[in-house]
Amino acid sequence: MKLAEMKDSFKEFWSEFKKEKTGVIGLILFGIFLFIVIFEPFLLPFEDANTRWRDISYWEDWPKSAPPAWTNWFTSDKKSVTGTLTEYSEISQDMGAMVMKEFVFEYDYQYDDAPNDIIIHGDASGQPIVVVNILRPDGEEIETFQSAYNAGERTKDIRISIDNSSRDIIYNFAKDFESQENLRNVKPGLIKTTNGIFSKAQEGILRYPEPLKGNYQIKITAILRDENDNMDTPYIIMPGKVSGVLGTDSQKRDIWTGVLAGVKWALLIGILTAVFSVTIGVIYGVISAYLGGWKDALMQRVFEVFVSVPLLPVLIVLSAVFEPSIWMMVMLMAMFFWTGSVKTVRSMAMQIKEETFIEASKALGASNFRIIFKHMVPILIPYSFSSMALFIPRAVVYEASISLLGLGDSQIVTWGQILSDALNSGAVLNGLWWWVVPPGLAIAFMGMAFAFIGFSMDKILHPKLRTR
Amino acid sequence: MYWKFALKRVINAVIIYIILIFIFSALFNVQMEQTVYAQIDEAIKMETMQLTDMKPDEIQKWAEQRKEFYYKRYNLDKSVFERVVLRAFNALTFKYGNSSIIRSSGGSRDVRTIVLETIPRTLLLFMTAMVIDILLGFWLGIKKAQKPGKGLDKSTSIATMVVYGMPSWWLGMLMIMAFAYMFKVFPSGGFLSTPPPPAGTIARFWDVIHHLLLPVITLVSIGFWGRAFLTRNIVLSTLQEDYIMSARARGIPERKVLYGHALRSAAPPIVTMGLLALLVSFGGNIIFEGIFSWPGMGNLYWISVQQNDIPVLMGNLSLTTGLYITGLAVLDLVYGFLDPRIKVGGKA
Amino acid sequence: MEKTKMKDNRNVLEVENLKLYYNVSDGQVKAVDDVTFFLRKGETLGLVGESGCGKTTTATALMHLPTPPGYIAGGKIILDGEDIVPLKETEIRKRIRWEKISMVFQGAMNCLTPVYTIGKLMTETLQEHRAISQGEKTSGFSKSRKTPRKMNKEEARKIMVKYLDYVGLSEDILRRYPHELSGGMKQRVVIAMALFLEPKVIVCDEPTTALDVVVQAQIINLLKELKEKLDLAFIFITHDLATVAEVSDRVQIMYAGRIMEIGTNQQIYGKQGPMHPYTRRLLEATPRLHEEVEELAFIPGTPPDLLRPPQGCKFHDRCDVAMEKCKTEEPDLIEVEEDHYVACWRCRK
Repeated sequence: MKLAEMKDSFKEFWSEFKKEKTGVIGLILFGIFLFIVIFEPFLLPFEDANTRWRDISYWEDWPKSAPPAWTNWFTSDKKSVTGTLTEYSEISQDMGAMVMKEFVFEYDYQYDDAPNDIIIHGDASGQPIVVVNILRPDGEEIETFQSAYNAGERTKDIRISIDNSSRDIIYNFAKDFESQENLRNVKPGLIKTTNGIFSKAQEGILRYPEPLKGNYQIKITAILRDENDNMDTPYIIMPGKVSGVLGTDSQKRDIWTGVLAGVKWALLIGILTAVFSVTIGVIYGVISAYLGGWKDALMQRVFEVFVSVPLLPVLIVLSAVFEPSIWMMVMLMAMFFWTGSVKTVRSMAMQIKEETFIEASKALGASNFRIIFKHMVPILIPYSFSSMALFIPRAVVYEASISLLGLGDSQIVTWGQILSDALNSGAVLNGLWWWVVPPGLAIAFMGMAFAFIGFSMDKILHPKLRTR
Repeated sequence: MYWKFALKRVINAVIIYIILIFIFSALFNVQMEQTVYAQIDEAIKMETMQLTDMKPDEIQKWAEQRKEFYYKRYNLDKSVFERVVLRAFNALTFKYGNSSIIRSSGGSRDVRTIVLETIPRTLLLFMTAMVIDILLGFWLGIKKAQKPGKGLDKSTSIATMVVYGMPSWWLGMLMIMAFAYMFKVFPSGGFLSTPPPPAGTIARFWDVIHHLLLPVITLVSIGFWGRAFLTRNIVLSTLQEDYIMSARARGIPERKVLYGHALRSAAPPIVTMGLLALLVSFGGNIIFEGIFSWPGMGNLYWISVQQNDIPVLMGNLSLTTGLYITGLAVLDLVYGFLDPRIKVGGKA
Repeated sequence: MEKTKMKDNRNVLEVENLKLYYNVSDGQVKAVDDVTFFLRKGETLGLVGESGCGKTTTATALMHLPTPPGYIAGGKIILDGEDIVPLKETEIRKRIRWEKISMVFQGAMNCLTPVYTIGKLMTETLQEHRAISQGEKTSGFSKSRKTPRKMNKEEARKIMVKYLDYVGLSEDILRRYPHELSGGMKQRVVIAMALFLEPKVIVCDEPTTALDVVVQAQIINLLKELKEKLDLAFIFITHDLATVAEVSDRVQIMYAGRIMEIGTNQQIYGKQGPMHPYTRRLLEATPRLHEEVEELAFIPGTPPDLLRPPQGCKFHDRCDVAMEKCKTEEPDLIEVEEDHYVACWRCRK
């Protein structure tokens, strides 16, 4: 087949394909997935997620098992949304023996349910003393934190969790307002610090807190006693009760990030496996049909052995025993998936073999290699593409299944691994739907995209099934 | 003629099974032997504990002797090739050795016992699902083929594609969340309640059904769309055959044309495809059992992976493969039986 | 063509202005376009044309069985004095198909349901119609509920054996499956089936194409023999003018969904030769055994795309005697002499 011919037949095919609505939808979905892969660096809320997905310290500031932020739309009780405060006003006061740096953050609190914590970060060096004051809308000011740091010579990140470090202070602050009876029922060590901070100063502040809405000022004061001492670029993370596009998991990871990061792996696994296996299958089928005779018979026996392998169990055992990387996994899957197209290809090739132009090229002395790859394989290209499209979802599901068993490649984030974590953490039985639904939905959507494409191509290639 | 064809097919299946077992034995030889070494060490340790009146060097010597004895017993003194052949031979005669951790419900550590007791449960789950699946799919597929391209056909075809890449086990997770967590209609998993109703009673039967329902609904609701689509395609292409036109021309009523001529001709591929789907779903959905803690072969994979119990994993794999190959052979035999063209030709 | 001329009590089938169209996504295909012809009792009408000219489509229209998305867009099919076009599907199925008109399909190989034995296929057809003809059909579905009038297996077997005998087949064929028979045997079975309800018209659509030469001759002879013995009216569809010359009394030539010429054997094959340029070219392109031909003629160009047919006479762009008029106006079928109809401006006086 000449290039121009191929271009023409492709054009013809495309004009047919355009008419298949589902096929076009599939292509659009595929386009969206590609878009996500290409622009992943700009789309990922957490840029290091790919390398530090399993690094607990990377995620420690975020809330645990928080539902998505948009769940607030459906409830009358507005839960605090996870947020980061980076804007502050800075006042520096030179007091002779020491320098006082004051960073003031404004926080407009309009929720019904307080954040889990207030986490303060900053770059520090030397031995600064850090004091955190919170000025509430009702005028009360609490000095929640005071501590001297020993950061050393080099600049280093300091992290202050108000929830952990200020529980006693808040208890002391609140107990002045709380009734004796309520106080008896509250254990000082178990109070939720942020509830004290963000609630009305009245009876019940500890036991039945009512939200105090309004503007809060969080004032971070760094006392620098030496010229080596410094504190700079502070920011505050408020781990909310609800968080992000798709919430967080029990290890505080952002699920939206995980789902986005999984797109490229799913595409990669799917497409590579499909391309490898269909290529092998088509070539195998054509060669088998072309050679014929005992060679064909032998190749068919080999094919039968491969077909008789229960694929997933074998993949499970192989993964359990050899712990393959993602590339190895693709190879393993391709090693068994190729059988899927052999039967059809062989019968198609049998027909092509009888065509006169094959006879003619044979008579003209073309080599077997040339006939197979120049004349027979190109005719099967349309079929190959449609079966590739239908192989992709299978490969994705298989990888996810292996990962679900905890046998996936631990260097990467795949949807199957997210689901595996969800299952092992009891997300299903605890109803953490935002952890279970999105990764599976992503798998289903990817399957759907390629099924739409593949089925539409199939329909065009098998006119018998056309309904128009 | 059919018998000749059948015999050939069965022999073929046996040969393939033998080949695969040999491949497995060679492939996993090292891992299998590691387990055996560990088991021998453990056995010797247990034995030496009971030897109280021996000096340390005597114990050492005795342990060496025991080791030699065990190595000989488990053929570890032979060449690699011999070991692989012996292992394959053992697997072919269903001697899978002992598990390292997992025990059967009767407390046995014999891998064969452990795997064998899971097979009926797996078959129960997948057979039930597949029977419903095929019946529903068949019904819907014929409906679709009768009016191709119309509303019902189009919408259900789209549904087929929507669920095409959806993992059954994920749907299972959602179903459990919905029907075991939110609405407590079904148990979240397992095969029987704890404590189980006494064996042989009606209550026990219903208990199993109650546990069976949710996984079966899940499997069917994902599977039957594809079956319907396939049935539709087969029936539709059969309906375009000349003999259908010919039957219509002879004045045969449409109902007889469809249910007689068309379906009778389309039945062999449909039935085969259905059975093939059973096998594929058995092979591909096997970890589905793990989600529902259904104590079948799939769940056993799950457990043996988690416990790193290699002998159970291998035994399970051998028997799964055996079942799979048997299934494929049965499939061909059924096809040959249904389609008169096969019986004579002896070849598909 | 003047309608009155066609009306004749010798006619068993009269087709008037029959139109069969396909609506496809790119437009409308007029597969059979305004076709008018007739068939007399006891005669064989050959229907000739290149493949894709609408021969088979015409045949399916006669059975009132257009393959979807095709539909009969207009015209009359008067079979045995009754127009079957407006009839309801069930009516046609019960009273017309196979009762009055039967068909031997193209490629007998695929016309027999592979999973039924020949006996079952034939019995089913017989029972369906015999039960109907006695007006007793209550339930065709359950076999157990036998109406007394319904033909039983023994009666059916008698009829089957009789007709199998006509086509030269023995009784034991009834137990066989189609794939167990040779092509020629299958074709004989199909012919026997087309005969055994004694219909008025039998349409044979390329009954010999898929067979090898020897068997072809046997089948042609069989058809000729049966025609004489049973006094049947045949429509014989083929692309081969030579075969048609052997079996038919009159010949009708189709091109691009239209009839170009109808004439008796004598008129078409005789000394005078056909009148329509297309028929002439077609005849020149047919190899003949008894004549020496130096070079076989062929018709340049290809049949028109029916989605975008040419204006005027559909043959004008391949015609060597086309006039200006041919390019703009489509000629009607006109009787130029007794029984000889031509659709060509050149042949008008």
